[in-house]
Amino acid sequence: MIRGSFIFTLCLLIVSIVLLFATQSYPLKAKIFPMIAIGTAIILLVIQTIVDIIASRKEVPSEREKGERLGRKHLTIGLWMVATLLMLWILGFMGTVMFLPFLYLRLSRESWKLSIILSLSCGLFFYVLFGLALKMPLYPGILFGVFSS
Amino acid sequence: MTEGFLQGITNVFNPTMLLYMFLGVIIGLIVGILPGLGGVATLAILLPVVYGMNPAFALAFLIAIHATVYQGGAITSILFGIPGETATTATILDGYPMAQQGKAGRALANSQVASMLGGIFGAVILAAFIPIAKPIVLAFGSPELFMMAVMGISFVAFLSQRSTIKAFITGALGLILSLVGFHHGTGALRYTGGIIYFYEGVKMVPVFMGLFAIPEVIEMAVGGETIAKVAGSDVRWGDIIQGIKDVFHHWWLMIRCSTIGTIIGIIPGVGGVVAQFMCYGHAKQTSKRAEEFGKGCEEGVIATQSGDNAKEGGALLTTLAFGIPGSSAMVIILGAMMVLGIKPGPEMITKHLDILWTLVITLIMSNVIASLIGLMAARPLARLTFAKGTILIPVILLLVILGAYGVSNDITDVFMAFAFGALGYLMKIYDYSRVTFTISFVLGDYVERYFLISLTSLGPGFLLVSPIAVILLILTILGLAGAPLKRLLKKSRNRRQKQGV
Repeated sequence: MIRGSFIFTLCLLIVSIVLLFATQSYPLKAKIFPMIAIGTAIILLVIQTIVDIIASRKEVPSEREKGERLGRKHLTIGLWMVATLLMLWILGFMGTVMFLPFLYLRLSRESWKLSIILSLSCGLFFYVLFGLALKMPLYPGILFGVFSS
Repeated sequence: MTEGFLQGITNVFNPTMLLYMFLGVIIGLIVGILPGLGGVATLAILLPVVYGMNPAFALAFLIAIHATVYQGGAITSILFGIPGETATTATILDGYPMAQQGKAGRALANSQVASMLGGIFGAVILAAFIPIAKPIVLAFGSPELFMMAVMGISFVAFLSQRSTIKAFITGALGLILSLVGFHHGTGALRYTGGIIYFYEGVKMVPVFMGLFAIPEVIEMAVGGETIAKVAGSDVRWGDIIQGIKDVFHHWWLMIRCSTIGTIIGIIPGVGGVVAQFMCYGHAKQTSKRAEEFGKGCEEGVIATQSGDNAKEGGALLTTLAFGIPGSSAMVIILGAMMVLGIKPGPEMITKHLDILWTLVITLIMSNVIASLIGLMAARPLARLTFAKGTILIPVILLLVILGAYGVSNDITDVFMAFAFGALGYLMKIYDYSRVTFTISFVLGDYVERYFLISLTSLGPGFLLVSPIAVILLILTILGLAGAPLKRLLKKSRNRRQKQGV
């Protein structure tokens, strides 16, 4: 956990340094305030990096094991998030509204009945409210977008 | 004045008017509950409906919708950790942890009653201050507004639960994020990476959705089965009554936050998000239980919701008294007034006093009706927090997608929300304050704008020119120095006591 915190702090520090260099090219009025904010962030991030390095030397091994166990669960939900975005990109808004609950429920070993009812309810609710009543242009997705064009 | 007041009451208690008001409240609550359906967009959609209507009925209908949106938004914020409305984001900070502790009923009651009383407070201020509002509005120039924003960010960062350094880091990073896009002063494009999507800056809703909702989904998937992490699914009326009692117990906090909300509402261009976070910062800074904030402290919910609803009275004040809309929703209400043949400004007090009173009473009545509906629905709604995680996770993900997409019907916003979700989760597990990040992100634009205006017009010593700014500066320094000084004094007292023993 402490090692993770160190890496995260380091990433923030690198991003801040990159932003500091980017700021140099802006006109004076556009860079005064960002310079103050980024300067403050960099000073504090350097202090925090040192704090993290000192803390990482005191890390307890059992915390690492626990972290590995949780890592697998994180990976699963992370993959779900990526899958959701892919689903949205390919199947569009309505496709995701119908398929996401169905797939998630089925893979979580919920009953067929619940999976189908919840998916259909979500689809109906979102379509009637946003598609029909509010006439919101729902993203069709690349798959249905190709068919409709 | 009395005649106008009586006419206002007669207007409001007309059965047709009551029907419109009730309809407005129901629409407002539904719009608030559903992320992605914004109050402003709804007002814009419904604007053509009011053309040709009786002006009092039409305006009351629109005011009722707008006044109750935040009460609906608070419900989603508390139950699912998703901001139902952008301006109810800060309610998540303590409302959602309360729901996780099985206190959703109490949190919902806190939010509904605090919203109602805040709304009434704002309406009363509106009625009382219309004739004398001008000097108050004019007293706040750019140095004062700059200092107010700096004070808000500093206090929230300083009172962060664990690492103060990390909180100030996120404060600075939030400010930087708010600077992305086109700079109005120079026309420069900052930190866009040449990507057109960022030219207009980073949108608030995807950031909020990501930072607050996605980490909760991840946590639910990794650790728990339900939102409420305690056993038992019974939500008792006792919890709801306790929630109502809480608000009256913290009546002074409610008054203070309503005052902050009203003042922020008066300042044109500063939205409800700012009001909420300022109130949250104030509540945390002044509370004896500051360390409980963010872990499910009812004071956090009361402060944010009372400030949020009180803001509407303030926003209406500038709209009616000067014709200056305090927020985007007020722009639409102002537009409706113009279309209906009512000219805001001094004429409101001379010619349309009956309509002015009608609006004040409508604001009060809508808040009361919405609050009663919210309280009655609190028990069944709170049971949702005991629903299985496997059912809630896909539904919450869909609401996040809808909320992010609904802002501007742009699929990129959804990707942004998920990206900020990942960042939010890392911030959460590594103790980087998301609250400070969010408040800085919200206020960053104002801080820079007022900083540059003050610097250009008054020079580097701009803070010392205005007495209000000086007072705010002293308060900030005292606030920041107060806690370490107290700690030092306590240590030296303990040492002396030990030596004495």
